[in-house]
Amino acid sequence: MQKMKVLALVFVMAVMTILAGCGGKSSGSGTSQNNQGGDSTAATSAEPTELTVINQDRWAPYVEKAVKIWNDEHPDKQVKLNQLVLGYPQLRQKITTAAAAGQAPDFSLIDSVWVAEFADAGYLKPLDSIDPEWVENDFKKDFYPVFVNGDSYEGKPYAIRSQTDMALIWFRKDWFSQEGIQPPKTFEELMSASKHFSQKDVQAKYGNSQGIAFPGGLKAGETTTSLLMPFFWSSGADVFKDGKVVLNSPESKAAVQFLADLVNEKASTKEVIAYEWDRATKLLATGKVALSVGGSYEYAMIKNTTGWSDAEMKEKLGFVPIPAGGSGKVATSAGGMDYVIYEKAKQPELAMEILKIVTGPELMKEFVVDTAQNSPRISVTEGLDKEKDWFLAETGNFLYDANVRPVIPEYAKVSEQIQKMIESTVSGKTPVDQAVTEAAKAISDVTGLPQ
Amino acid sequence: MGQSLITAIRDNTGSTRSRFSKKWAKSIPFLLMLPALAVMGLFALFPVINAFRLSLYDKQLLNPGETFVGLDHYSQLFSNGEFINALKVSVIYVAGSVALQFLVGLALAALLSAQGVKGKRFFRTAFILPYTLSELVVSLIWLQMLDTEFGIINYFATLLGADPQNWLFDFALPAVIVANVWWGSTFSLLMLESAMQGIPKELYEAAEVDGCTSWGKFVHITLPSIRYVSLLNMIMITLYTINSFGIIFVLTAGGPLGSTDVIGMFMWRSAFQFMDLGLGATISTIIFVVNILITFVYIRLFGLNTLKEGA
Repeated sequence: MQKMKVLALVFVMAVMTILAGCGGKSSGSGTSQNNQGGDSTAATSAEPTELTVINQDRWAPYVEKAVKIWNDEHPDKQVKLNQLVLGYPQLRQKITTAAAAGQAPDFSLIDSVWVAEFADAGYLKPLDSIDPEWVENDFKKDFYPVFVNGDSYEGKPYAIRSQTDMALIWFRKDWFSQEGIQPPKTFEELMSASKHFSQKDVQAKYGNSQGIAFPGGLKAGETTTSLLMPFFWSSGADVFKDGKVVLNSPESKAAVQFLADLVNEKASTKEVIAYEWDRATKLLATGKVALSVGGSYEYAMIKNTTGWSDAEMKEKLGFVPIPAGGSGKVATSAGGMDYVIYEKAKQPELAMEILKIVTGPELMKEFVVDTAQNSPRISVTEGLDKEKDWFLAETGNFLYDANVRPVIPEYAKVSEQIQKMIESTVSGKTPVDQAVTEAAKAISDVTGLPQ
Repeated sequence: MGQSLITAIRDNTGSTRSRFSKKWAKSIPFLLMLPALAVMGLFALFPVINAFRLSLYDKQLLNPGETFVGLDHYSQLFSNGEFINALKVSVIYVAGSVALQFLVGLALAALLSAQGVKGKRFFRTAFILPYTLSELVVSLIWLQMLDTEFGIINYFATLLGADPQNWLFDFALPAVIVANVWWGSTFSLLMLESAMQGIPKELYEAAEVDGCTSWGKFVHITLPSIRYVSLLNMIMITLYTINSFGIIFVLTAGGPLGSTDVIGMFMWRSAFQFMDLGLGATISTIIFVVNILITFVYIRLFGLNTLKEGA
């Protein structure tokens, strides 16, 4: 019996040894644990409070700065930052897994199109339940209205936009000047300019191989939806209205028909359905197209690829919001990354205080100028140096014409249907009428909303 | 305890001992295997059983609850045109990849095993090199090589007078198969070459004496001698190709128009993009069953004796 016990013990230990090897602490490679700033005597006067954060690399240093500012100003309420830094592809999976397992951080960065999904699942804390005064006096007054609405779900504010970007028509201003063409303000002008630069003799002059490029399919994923939705808005169409799916409308069909016609009229190519998310603007930057539908976040990429100086960028690169379709109004989309505080945050008030610094005018200005992205705060845009930060100052005005993509929990599935609808029509596989009708039905099915 | 083991082993080898000792001896191999079986159960069997259980429920990653839906997910999938398309594309992708990987691996292995071939070490290193790269790196290399404007493949095509092609648009499925074969053939090469090295030289010498040609030796000696390893190789590369979709994810993301949308991509989208764990688990259960069926088909094709040869 004694021998049996020994054998059993050996077996249990063997299994435990193997299982122990499978466990372990989370990787430290992307984790920063800092008790930032503060003088050392003050820091030791009180036990620091730990804040857990999940963030992306470009944003993370600004959270560290905010913690340092906080610690310098509050020697008795020191914060110890435990920040996990991830790339965008890992962000969604890490946060959803952590939230579903009840191990959400105090706050994290998330894509603005995930807010409704997370809020609907009950993972986020409404900001007005933590600091209603800030929501009323700062959030609702200094952030562009599009973000006050777009970062709210069922009437409650859940997220703070850290930066924003928008859909633009990039074009070669120098080529347009030489050809005597004005920047496009309407669909007709956009079509006309695109067709002009797809003519053989014009292409021989500038070395481009097509008129306009745009991401037109599932390969570009969310970029397709975010950059092409403004064509719907400028046509007077939308996906949802008053709790109904309203995609199946003549306005939507006109928008999709316009995109398909860019290919049918040889101003573009049906290969756009296989473009990666940044392909269209890379083609513009390498002189292969005269116009592209791109994001404002591509400014830095264009500058790097072309090697142009600031002065050359001003002279050669043009940009306008998505031109007016049937509605007679230009449009653009406002994307970006949001900070959110979790329902299960251990320190929601402290998280809010740090976020107020991170997204405050001072650090936000530093961040948007440093990363060449737009500010969601009106005061920051207005305070930009109009000479030095001319691009951000000029595009900032477009945000008054901006919309956000549908704020619904099933957004990912809705977006996929929009991408499929565009891909199948632009490629010529499905007639516009049929594709829009099918997409509207599929969206109605996945959301449970009537048409 | 040491004494007990010795006694037990003696019992096992025929010594006469008590009935208890004999039973004890018989149970020792199973006891020794228990830790490994426990680990396998935990990390291999449990996920399979749990995936099947989950496939019977409506379970969203972000929502804590789960609702029993029976076989709804299965009927939903088999009436979904996109899933049927993914199955068809998977059959072509797997068949093309496996056939080419095996044939290329076999040809290279034969080349490296042949006598009188100079520079074997160099070629072996060159052939093995792709396999040292991760799937992601391989995918990114091919993405560059297949680029319409700047890719090296179009560069050579234009040098030869051909028009540049948009490979990932006009030839998307063949392009991802070629990229997969470039990466995966090395595995076949390694397995088959090591099997060829184990064939007794006397067999070839005897065949030469009988006037057998090189092709005859390959067909009548080499191929039958590597049947068992070939079977294992085919099973392994088939299962790997069905389960992996990294190259497709990077090169085409399943497009254009679903032409490279394999079942693995479909599962990833369902489970991790749309957070529908129930549907994702249903697809992974289907993939598991397909894997088992394919293994049986291979064994039947090669003959049950092939397994006995290897045992």
